[in-house]
Amino acid sequence: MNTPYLRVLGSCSTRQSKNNDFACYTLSDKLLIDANTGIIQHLFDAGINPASIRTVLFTHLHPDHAMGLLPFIFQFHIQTGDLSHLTIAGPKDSIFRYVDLAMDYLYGELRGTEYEYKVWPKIIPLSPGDEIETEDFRILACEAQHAVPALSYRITDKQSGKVAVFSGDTRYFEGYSKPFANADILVHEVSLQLEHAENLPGNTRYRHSSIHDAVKVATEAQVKRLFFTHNTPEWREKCVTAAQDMTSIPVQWAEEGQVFPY
Amino acid sequence: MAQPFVRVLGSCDWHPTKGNDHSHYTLSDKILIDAGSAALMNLLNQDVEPTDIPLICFTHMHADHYMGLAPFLLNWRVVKGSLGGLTIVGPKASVRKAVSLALHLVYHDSSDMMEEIKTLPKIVELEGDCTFETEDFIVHTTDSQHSVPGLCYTFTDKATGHKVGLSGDTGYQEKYGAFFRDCDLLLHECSFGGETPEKERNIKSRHSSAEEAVRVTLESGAKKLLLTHTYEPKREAALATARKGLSVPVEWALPGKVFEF
Repeated sequence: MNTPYLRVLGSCSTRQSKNNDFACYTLSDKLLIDANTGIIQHLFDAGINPASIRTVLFTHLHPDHAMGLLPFIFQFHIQTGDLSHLTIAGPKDSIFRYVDLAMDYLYGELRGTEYEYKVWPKIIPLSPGDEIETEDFRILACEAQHAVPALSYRITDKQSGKVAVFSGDTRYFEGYSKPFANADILVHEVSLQLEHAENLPGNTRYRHSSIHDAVKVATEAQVKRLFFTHNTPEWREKCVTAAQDMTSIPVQWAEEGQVFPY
Repeated sequence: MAQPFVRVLGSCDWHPTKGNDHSHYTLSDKILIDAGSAALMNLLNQDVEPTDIPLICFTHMHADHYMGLAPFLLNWRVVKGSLGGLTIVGPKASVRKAVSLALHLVYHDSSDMMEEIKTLPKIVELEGDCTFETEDFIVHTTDSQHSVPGLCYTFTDKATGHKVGLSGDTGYQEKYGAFFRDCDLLLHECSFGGETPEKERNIKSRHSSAEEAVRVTLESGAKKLLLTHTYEPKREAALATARKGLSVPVEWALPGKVFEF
């Protein structure tokens, strides 16, 4: 039985830096979770054929999480010539419009010409509680609370039964951790670093998490390992060190370019 | 006196390969020429601060040449707090629409885009033979011959008088001998590599072969040819063809490399 793995293609928040792209991952190189702008080169660097990934899952459609859909669709089309084999899933309130915008950006010039693009990727709109299956995974969409429509995901590897959870961008709320019970890994955003969310009045609007929220979720759900993501490099060590003092669950930063079997 | 240079950020055609993105460059790290899909990461990875580049010149608005615009705009706004101070030059027929598509993609879920970006980037729409100046360069453009409206550029460095020409995506045109006259460096596309394209195919897609890049180099008297916009497997044959036909130096626009002119 193959061990599933998390591959990190980036773990930055709003601003990219050298060798450090926006938050984006694969699970076992079969499922893409969010899409950062350097996605094609990240996949090439890892020796992955971009067109071998046929499902893209979006936590939400903020540009840092979603702009890589442009090069991903473009590359998928170059290699396969058929976008109907690509499935894109994300929050129901924004996923259709976002894919439309991306298709317009990429192929708008061709409209009205003999090259006009008529085949769209398959789009799956998701709400909390929805479950979809790919060949390799069972994916449960879970409630998240962010500034825009957003989802967290509980993803079960069918072969091994192992479970990976991705918070996406969200604040903590009552009941949030319930669907994540006993997950093998939890990849949680820590945009608010060491802050306490309740001390940040603005967080009712932008809605992010700190290490306190992430540790709380991990503890409530009794996950086996916790990964932090979605912050600038200078915060990484501080966040991990502080969190490790708060819990016996192993905590690591989701370092870009790294592969973590689970 | 500082030598002007071309920094290669990518030199593939629409088909990127490991370590080589779609074709795009900087001029002396002051102007971005086109924006391949990972333009922003390519700049950062070569230690160039993207917000030090206040001008983007587009050859045309095909996706492989402007996919990187949306991430560039997002980063500019995040760092600078507005999109003020940024100028975007491109073909009259398409540049405004392309910038609008990029802004809509970045701010699709914003209730008030203008509140976020404060001011729109300055858009300069060019068609036909045009001339303009930046702090460092005198810029000439002429229409290319591609499947969509496009521009060829020359940039003359004010301090040294040295000149670089960029073909963008184009088929051969007779006027290029005069337009690229005496360039110290000519970046010419060779999408067809070492092959001579069947006439029929080239009428549709309007690209160039290495032979046509040689022809433009000879007719313009350019002092050095830098081949670009070629799928990697075609590169060696393209270089061999061009070197056979020319006595001036011919190089491949290797990503990560800086070519002074």
